[in-house]
Amino acid sequence: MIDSFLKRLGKGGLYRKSNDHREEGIFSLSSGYITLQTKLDLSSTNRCGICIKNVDGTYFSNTIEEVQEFLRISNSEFRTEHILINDKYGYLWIMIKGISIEDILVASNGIVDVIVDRGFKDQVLAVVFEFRKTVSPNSNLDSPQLEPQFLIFNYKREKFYPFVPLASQEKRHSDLELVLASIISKEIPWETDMSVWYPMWDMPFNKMRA
Amino acid sequence: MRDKFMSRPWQRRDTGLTLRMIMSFVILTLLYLVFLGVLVYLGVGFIPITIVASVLIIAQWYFSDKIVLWSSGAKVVTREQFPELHGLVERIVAMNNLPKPKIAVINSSVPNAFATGKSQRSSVVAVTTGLMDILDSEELEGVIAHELTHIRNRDVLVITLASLFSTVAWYLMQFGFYGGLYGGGMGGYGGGRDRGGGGGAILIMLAVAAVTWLVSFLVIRAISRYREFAADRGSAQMTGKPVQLANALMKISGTMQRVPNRDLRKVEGLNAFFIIPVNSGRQTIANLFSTHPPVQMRVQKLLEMEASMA
Repeated sequence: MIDSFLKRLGKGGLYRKSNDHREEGIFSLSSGYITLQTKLDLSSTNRCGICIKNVDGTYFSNTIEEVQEFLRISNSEFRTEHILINDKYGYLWIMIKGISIEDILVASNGIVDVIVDRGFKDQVLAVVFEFRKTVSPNSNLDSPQLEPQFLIFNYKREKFYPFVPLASQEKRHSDLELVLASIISKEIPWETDMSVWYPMWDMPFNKMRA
Repeated sequence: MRDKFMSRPWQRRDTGLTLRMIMSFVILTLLYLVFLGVLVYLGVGFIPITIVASVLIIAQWYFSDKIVLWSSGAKVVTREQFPELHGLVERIVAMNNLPKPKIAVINSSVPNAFATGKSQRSSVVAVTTGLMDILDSEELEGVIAHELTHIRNRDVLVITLASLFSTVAWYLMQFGFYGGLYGGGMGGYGGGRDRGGGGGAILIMLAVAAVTWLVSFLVIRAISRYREFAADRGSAQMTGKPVQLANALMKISGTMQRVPNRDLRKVEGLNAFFIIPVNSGRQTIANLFSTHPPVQMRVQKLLEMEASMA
């Protein structure tokens, strides 16, 4: 009961058609996360990473400084922390940690806006959100379900897809990914073409304190 | 054959096995046709022909599992030979209060499974070694539960009966054609419209016969597709894990190979990948003739079941 009421509330039927995901983009998660919580016991870790292709040159580094400035200024509002990490693929990650999922949604959206404004739209690859099973006293701590599960928002296709890596190797928990898809694909802009569910191995989430 | 688990035209498949099974059934059907055709031609009466045809159909029914096992090359295996497989089947049947079927294994690298048998007790579930290789135990459980649902729903009987109607319709039409009798009213699917046709209307007779056959062919296929969905649903209820069967289906059909393993950051440069493919309507016709619904649709339905269970 409450569940479906919340969902309706979250979908914001007042001002947009429920099928029109296109403008919502990552903000669709502000309601979608409730579904993940109630149906799968998956909660947002309130951490996300914005993956940007690095560019040499001062104009790009100025833009990144601007982003950091933006985060510092707005810190009082979103209550976020952030770090920058360069990965081995030549991408820059802006990792954000907030207190609620709304914080990181607003912050990451603001960051992408700044980058797009400065003409680096094509450099934005993806925004990745991290979720984890809520631990209860009787959970099996070795269960693969306790490993982080990700929703990757492919910025170019403006769609989400699931990514649940196995901790040890470059392999995926495809069943958990399908469960995620079954639960959330109707509520957020969803990538139905599974041939572009590209993984992102070794994301720098562990470089950040939980 | 009719319970074969996969049938997507684009996927890697064991043409040898498929051909062998198709050939056996084609030969059997041809034998019928020729034999009965000769009888009709020789002017044997309506009643003897009906009796002969019934005997043949009952014989095929009686030996159906033997024929299927023989034509697929499946070998019934004991508990000692395949303890895990037996254990897995026993778990499902015990939890769902079903009789344990015989278990057969086909030595083929292509992942596939089928069920056959006249009654619940005499039924056989066959899996290929390839299926056991690529699926983990939960996925295999989903597939076996799917086959067990076919047995529980008596799908072999249903499809055989449906085929029987079309066969009977066809013979009545032929008999009418040669003997000047009318088979109207007993024509089964779409076969009732020739009632009152004139004696000289040979062309109409032929047309009706063709339509009868085509309609019953399509109806049988539609029933078969429906039974597949029903078996998927039954499997989901038995195991409580529809996503495992979805996973298995995707692995079997090769869809899983389409989920990439290359990192997004490595493929980013390939522009082609960002073009969203246009859905074509070409599938529809193929679906009409197919015994199995498209894997994608089955996966979709299974995921909906998963969502409703959460």
